[in-house]
Amino acid sequence: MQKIVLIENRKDRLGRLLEVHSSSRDLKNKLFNFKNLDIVDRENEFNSDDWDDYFKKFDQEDLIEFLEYDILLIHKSKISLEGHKNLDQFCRNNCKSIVYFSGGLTGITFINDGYPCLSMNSSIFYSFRLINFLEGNSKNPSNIMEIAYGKKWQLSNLLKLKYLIHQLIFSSELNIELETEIEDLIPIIEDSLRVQIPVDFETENDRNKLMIFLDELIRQKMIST
Amino acid sequence: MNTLLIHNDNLPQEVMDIFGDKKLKFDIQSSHVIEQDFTFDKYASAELGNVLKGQKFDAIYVVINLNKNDYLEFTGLSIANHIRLSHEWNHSHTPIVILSPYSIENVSRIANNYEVLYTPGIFFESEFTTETIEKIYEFIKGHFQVSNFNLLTEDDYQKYLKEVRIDPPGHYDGQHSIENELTLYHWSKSIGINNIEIENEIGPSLYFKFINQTNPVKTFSTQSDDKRSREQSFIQNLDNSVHDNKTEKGRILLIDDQWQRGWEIFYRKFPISIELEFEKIPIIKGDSYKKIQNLTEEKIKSFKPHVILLDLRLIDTDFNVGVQIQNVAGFKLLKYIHLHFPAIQIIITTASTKASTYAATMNYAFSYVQKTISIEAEKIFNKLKDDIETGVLLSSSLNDYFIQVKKIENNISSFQKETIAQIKHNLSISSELLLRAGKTNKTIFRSYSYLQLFHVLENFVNDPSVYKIENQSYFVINKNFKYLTVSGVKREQEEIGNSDIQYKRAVKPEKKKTGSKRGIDENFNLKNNYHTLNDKIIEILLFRHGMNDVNEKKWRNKKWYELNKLRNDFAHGKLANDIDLDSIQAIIEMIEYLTNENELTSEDLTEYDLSEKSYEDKLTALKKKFK
Repeated sequence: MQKIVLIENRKDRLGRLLEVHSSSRDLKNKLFNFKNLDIVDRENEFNSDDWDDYFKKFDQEDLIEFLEYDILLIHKSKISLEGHKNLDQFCRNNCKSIVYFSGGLTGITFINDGYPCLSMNSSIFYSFRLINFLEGNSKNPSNIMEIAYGKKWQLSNLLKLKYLIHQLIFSSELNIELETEIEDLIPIIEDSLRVQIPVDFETENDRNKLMIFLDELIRQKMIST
Repeated sequence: MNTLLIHNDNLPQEVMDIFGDKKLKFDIQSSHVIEQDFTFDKYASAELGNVLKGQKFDAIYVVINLNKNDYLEFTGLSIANHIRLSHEWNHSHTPIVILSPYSIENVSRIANNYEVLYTPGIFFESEFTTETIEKIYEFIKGHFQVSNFNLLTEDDYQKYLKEVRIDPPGHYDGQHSIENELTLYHWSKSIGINNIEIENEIGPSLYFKFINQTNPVKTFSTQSDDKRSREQSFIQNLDNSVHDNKTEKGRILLIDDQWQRGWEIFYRKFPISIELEFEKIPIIKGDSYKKIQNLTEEKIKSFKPHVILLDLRLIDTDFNVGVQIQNVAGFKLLKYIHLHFPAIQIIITTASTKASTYAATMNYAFSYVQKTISIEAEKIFNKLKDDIETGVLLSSSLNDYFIQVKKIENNISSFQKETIAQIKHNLSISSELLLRAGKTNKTIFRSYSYLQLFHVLENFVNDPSVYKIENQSYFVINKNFKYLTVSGVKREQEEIGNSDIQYKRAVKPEKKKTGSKRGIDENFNLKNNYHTLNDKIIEILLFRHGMNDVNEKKWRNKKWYELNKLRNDFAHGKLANDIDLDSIQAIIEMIEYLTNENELTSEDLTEYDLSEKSYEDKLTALKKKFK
């Protein structure tokens, strides 16, 4: 079990999660009763001034209270540039995982530069996958990628890589954006699956080899999940 | 090419370019496809509707992955199903090409909705090149009658409907189970009500579209002649008291947390041949069970419903995963109403398909109607109609019976504990049998119910505050009076055919044994020393209630003698028909009379019993007689 803290000043979003994902009506009880999850201002007593005061601790590097947590789930918009730097250092020094969510973020990005950092749009963050992640985590430690992609996040990443490479192979024009995306994704997959992906697009033979390799990885992952 | 491309900027640019401006971009960020609130379905329906309506594409190309954040979603397959299932966009029969970098085998293994790939008119292509795209288009043009708007044949389309599997999304938005909503929508439409609210909310969902194609709404026609004749015979089977109530309007109470959603309107407009008054319990989200029970109790007392239409899931916790039926609010309410207001006929209306739910509820409910679209609406409507009409008739006819049962239960509070328990037990069995007679339309249960009430009489005469047997002496008890009504003495000389005890009784039977008065029967024949229930009841009527003749009181115009004869005739198989409700009503009213303390005489009747009298007593009695 990993200890998690959720810092969300916009309680309406939390409420929406409870309302929309109410396939079981005890969801609220469930969310509020996860032993591994602390929700800042769970009782909803903070006003906007209280929240402003609260977020100052990131600027002031007053982060001792987060030492007890393994994973920090934070609404990104309320954190200043200075606060980000401090959090970055704090997570790096103390081996913490961090998940940023915000309405202003596009898509999902994952970086492991000394510590795992996942960023995503709030609408992706507040899904039943968050509940599943918390539920799973209350028993065994889980990867934060599950919040974004669910339990089959490794398979999802493999399918994504295959898609992007496929797209790139059939593109006659240079596509820097696509290439960057592939370059970012490969180390994540290599790291999580402990494999070396033979990334070589030079000849048709190379490309075929790469596709066969990816198909085999997908097949293996399908079987294991 | 007269084709449409559905994409998310995720094809090589040159491939995108050959479609010109006939492109539709789906910019999907979050995993809404797998959510259960139809966000994706609504978005997809709106976008596709805008582009497809009024157009006439020869083929539609769809990229399999439209959500760049979740490659497990295969959103393109959902899009293909939307196109197939939405006739109003005029492209349900158009060939669709799925563009996928993965093999069809891998997609089939991973995707939940892969079946569409194996249906007519679906092409699967892994090469993202202009040549391939064009080649497929040429093939489609060659093989399908492009000039004809319906590109797939009707047979092909039916094959698609057969092959594809669209699962219901479970409970979306809490209480609004999709099955419940769909049923409400379909049933309402069947009787001419358009539920716009539901249509707007779940109309864009794939499941809704699928059900509409596989199970189209049919308008409800009137009942069959066979059905009508069955109802007529049921009405004829009921006794006069029911016919008296026929002019009364049937009162229906609806208890359903979704009453506002359209169930109230549906039931109000539901075609039925008897006149109805209709009310509901205004349940609102967040109500507790206790509150609903209180509201129900108040409403029952003021409205006096004949029939209650009861949904099982009424409060938030009823929707918890794995909740036991015993803890479901509707079930608790069912038991409560059955216990306290047994004359009310409860019809369970639920989307539950569990056999255990049916079994548990039918111990208390009159009927069970499943809210489902998997059974033809007309069949369910006929049953519902029959159940409501029968329930009203039954309730109004049983109401008097249950009033008497309640009175008896109150009357017997001073009896010994064992008697109280036995009487209540036998009353409840009798009631259940009577209800079963109504539920099953099997009149034999009415006769059984009648017999059971004689067990109640047995329990009653066995209570020491009513009747006592000491050695060969039999006593009727009336509070402080203890009347010796039968006494036995050893015969001095044995007589052939008689027992060794000679009995005397303080009751003189009339000729033909159809009536009895107080008097002395010097040679009372107590067969095998067994004093029958009939004899004890006669003594009770004469001595506890002070009747001069047991025939002076009638219940529903029936004498005790007749009621007892009816019981014996049924028990000995002499009756041609089953016992009618009026006789049951008569015997229950008689039991009420017998157990009612206010009906006991305050008169001292010692002079008429068999106890030893002093000279003074005899003299007083004589004086009184000749006064």
